[in-house]
Amino acid sequence: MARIDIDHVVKHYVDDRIVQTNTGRPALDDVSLQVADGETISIVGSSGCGKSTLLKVVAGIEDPDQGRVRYDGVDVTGVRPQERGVGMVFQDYALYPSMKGKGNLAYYFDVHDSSKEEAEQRVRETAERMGVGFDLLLGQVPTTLSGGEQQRVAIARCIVRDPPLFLMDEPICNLDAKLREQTRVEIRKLLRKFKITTLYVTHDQQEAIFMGDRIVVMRDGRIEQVGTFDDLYYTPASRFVATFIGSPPISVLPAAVTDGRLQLAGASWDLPSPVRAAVPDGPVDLAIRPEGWRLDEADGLAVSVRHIERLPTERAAFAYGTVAGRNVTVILPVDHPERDQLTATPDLDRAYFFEPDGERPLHTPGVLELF
Amino acid sequence: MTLQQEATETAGGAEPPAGTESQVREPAPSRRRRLERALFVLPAFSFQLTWGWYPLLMAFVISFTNARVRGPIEFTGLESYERMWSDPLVAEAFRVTAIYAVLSIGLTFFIPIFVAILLMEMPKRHIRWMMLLWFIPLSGIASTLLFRYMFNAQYGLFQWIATEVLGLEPQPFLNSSDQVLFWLVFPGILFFGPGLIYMATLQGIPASYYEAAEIEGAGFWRKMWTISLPRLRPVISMLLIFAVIGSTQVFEYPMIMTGGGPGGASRTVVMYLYELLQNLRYADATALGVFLFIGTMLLVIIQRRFFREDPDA
Amino acid sequence: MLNRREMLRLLAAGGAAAASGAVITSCTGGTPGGGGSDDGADVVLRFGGDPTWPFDVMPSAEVQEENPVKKAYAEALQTWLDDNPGVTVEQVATDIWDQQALTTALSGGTAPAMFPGNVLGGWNVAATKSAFAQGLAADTTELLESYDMDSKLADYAKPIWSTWQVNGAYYGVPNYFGAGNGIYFRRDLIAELGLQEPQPGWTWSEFRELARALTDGDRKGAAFQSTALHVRLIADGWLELSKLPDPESAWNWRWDYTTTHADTWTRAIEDFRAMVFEDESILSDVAFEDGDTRNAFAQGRAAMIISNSGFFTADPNDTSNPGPSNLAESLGMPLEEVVGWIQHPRGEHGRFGDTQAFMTVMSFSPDLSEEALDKAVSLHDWMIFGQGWEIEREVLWEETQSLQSVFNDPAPVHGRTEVEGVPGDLVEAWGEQYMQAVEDASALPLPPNEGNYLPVEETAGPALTAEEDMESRWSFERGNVDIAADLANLEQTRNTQAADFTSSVDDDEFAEGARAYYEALQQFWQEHAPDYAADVFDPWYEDHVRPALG
Repeated sequence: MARIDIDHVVKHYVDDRIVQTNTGRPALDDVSLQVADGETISIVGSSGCGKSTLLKVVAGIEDPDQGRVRYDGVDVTGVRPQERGVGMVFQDYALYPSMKGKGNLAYYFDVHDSSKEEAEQRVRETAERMGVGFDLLLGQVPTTLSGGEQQRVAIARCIVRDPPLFLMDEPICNLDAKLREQTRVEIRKLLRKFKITTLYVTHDQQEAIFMGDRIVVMRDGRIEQVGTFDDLYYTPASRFVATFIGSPPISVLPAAVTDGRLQLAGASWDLPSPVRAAVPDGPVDLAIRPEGWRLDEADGLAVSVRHIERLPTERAAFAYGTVAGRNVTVILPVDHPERDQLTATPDLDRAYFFEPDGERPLHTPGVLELF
Repeated sequence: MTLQQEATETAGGAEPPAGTESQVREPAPSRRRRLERALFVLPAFSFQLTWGWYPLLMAFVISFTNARVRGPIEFTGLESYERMWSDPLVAEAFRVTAIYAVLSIGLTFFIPIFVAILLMEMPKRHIRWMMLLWFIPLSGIASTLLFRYMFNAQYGLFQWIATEVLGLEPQPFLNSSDQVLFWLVFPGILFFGPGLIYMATLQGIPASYYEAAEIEGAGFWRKMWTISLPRLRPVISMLLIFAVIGSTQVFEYPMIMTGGGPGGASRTVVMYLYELLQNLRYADATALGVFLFIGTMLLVIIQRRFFREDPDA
Repeated sequence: MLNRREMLRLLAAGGAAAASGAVITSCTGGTPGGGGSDDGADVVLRFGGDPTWPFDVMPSAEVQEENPVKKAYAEALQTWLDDNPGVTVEQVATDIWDQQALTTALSGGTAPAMFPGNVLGGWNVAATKSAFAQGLAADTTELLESYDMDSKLADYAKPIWSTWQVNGAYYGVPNYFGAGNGIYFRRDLIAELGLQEPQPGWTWSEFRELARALTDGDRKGAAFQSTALHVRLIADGWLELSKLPDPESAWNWRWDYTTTHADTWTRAIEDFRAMVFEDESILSDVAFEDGDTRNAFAQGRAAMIISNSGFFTADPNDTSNPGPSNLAESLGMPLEEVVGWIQHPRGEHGRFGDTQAFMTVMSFSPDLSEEALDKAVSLHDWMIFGQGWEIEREVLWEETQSLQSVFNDPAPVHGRTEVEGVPGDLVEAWGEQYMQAVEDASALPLPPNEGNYLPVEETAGPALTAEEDMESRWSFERGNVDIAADLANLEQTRNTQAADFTSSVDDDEFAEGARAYYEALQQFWQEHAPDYAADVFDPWYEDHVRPALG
């Protein structure tokens, strides 16, 4: 188990072409992150945001141009991956094609000249820990295994040698939906069971929320925000985080504040006092999450509904529509009748305010105190 | 229109009555379909027949005759085979061909595998430069003529390198029956043989395989043995057949470089076959060709056996 | 001894088509395989080969404008066509210089009607004659008489022409005469160093001395291909003394390199190797071809080379194949003062060297109709021996005003050295010294030819490969070479190969022919090289040949 300290890491990729052109933007731009022992951190971001690069730098596969990486306070920057002892699971599983499952698990022990007995022993133990039916996978070549089975072997390959740090690079995104769900739960269980420090890269925020004790949102080689899901959801550090986290996404509506009243699409409301203090007069971007609307009030806005998606398991429905030409999503009771029009009032206590066309939040509602 | 019809027919035939045998067995094609299939196959088949099997068969037949260009052809039984079997120069040509094949396959087929793997360790930008150099078009004959000069033992570039750069005694190069085959193969090493194909294949291996291995502590050699070589295996298996056939049938290159000398030390089977043709000994030449064919087939069969086995089984 | 490449180069050098009129016509009948049409009205002549040489269909006006050789050819051809209405000429794709292409066309009955007969046997005389014996070319014996070939041939060309007889018949017409191979040397360097110029009858030890004296830094005394050693050995009787008649055996011949003259061969080979490896006076490499040695000479990197007499007349405008003229030009001296040519040195006992006249034969498709064959021979006769040749000379003179262009064949097959309307002659074109050397070489008597005494074999028998291998080994192999073992090996190889051949000649017939042949040979050497006859040939003949023939 290890504590990971990523300290102001900068990484440029050398261009792949014969004639070098400097695209300028680094893959990692001054990234710092502390991961506590046994903690699972999800790293989420759209493709190209640098999340996989960060993982490779931590693994030692890529060397940072600047900055340090420390395991338990020990500087490992420049230490070869072979000597770091981390475990990594890849999106394409990366099982050794010429070896059966068992050979894949024993690979580490082969490389390190461990005794055959030790290898056998560890493989057996791991198979037991991996659960029912795993034995069967050991006797097969990777090409004959399904994606889910391959991923189980790949995970076992890491677990078999008790790595201090687990790095997972979109491990389940190649699986179909049902299997993904299952494997997600399984990985989560394993991580809880072994309490291994883990960096888990994904582009799927649901997965990130599910896996991570904390979530890192990355964008263009920088960390936008680190925090629990609630932190990210209720107190986003930027408009990007606000729009990235949450599904369906937050609706952003251009509005204006005049004398403490919010003007939007011909309607107006008084701003609650905490908001009023934070939001000056003038144009402002109002952002409302689906659950941030009140229905059927007299001063409501007219929402023209495109369609309604019902989620019986959640006992809710989402109405997708527009207000003043902007897309909005409104949560409804699951038995809400089918209608073309809704009247919805933004709950200004649960609303987010951003500088017009800027990233900076002026006011966020903060974590809901449920209890 | 035919395609459409076929599509309709396929669609129509896609739902055979449940529980009948036709579920497992392909439905018998209609007469029309059979005709269509035959028409599609016909061009390729007739091409193969006229340019592939017919000459092969005729060569085989000719080898049992006196094979005169004009006039009556008589069957002479195994005479040509006996003549070729006991000709000391045939044995010598096979010996030369075998050594050439071993050298050529070893130096220009297997070594490039490792060179390609090593090169892949270089920064990608450098690799592309190297590939660009190898792709510079150089006509086979032109480069052969170039090497003919470079190998000259009196004023060639290689002699200059040997004596002036490496400080060795003057080397005989092609003028030595012990060295000539090596030097004939040597330019092939510089031209990297099928190395580019290896590199292309290696580039198709996801980086994550190597990363996974590195993380598990694997060094260069282990990565090569457990990832690169297994992934190259199918390519190697196929190219090796071509290499075996190519090197056992080598002709133009030694013909231009040495004409078979010194003292027949670089005369391959096909070169001797060509000499027989020049002497109008067609039957002998075809008999020799049959010997070579059998020898090459044996090698290919052995190769197939070797590569069929699964290393992990 | 010529190999195919040398032969091709020889024929190509100096545009033999232009001056010597080495014209090759392909004339087939109206339908492929069927010969000419039988009504006698129309004959189509089909030319195969390189589209521009040696024979072309009527060159276009543009080509004639650019190339005086083509213009001369066109005029000669046109005149003949005017005299022979009903004959048309066509070009076909078959490359008559490609042995395989030519024999394939012959086997299918689609051959162009005219082709160099030597191509049939890959420029190997025995193989070519076997091809003739197999009927790969039309029998021209009668036509030669009706065209009165005997009176048209130069005297020096007659003996070599007679060797092209195959079992009493001819399968072609004389096309080109060459005085043979000899040695080119740098006249200017020899004068500069105060050395003696070689004279006919010189020896190989004189050659070695000269080569050593002419070696200076980057310039070697001579440049050699592997044929040089063959030439060297022939002067000691290599070919005739290693082969013994053996009527008892299936092939009627056996080879013996070890029991009779092994010392001679060893001495010659060691002497040769000493030139290369001890004196270091020879530029040589296993990869060398004609072009390499000729370039070495023309560029001054070698002071002597072996080449045929025709190289002297190489076209100076053909810069890709530089010749003596280019060398003279680069030195700013007249050609005659820079380059000389001399017949090969003699052997230990005064036997002739390898300088021997040779002749190429123009052969005709065996599928031609009688009439088409006649027209083809007529065209060839016109262009080589007849008025066509004269027309070509006249036009060439008008166009170029250069005697060297007009007379670019030093030993024309018909022996004519001047043409009406051209002021000057062959000797004036090339200088007296060179012409004298060619004349001396052409005048060398021709040893009796085996083929004139013995029926020609239907198959050519074991190839020369084994012998050529050893010559190449001795020429180039650095380090120790065990000559005695090599000779034994060679003997073994050749006899093993021969053991699997069966002669098509009856044993008695063979013995009779062989006796006549060897008697003629003995007489020849007694007359022309008495020392060689007395010291070498006669004892060998008495001890080994006569007993074998009974």
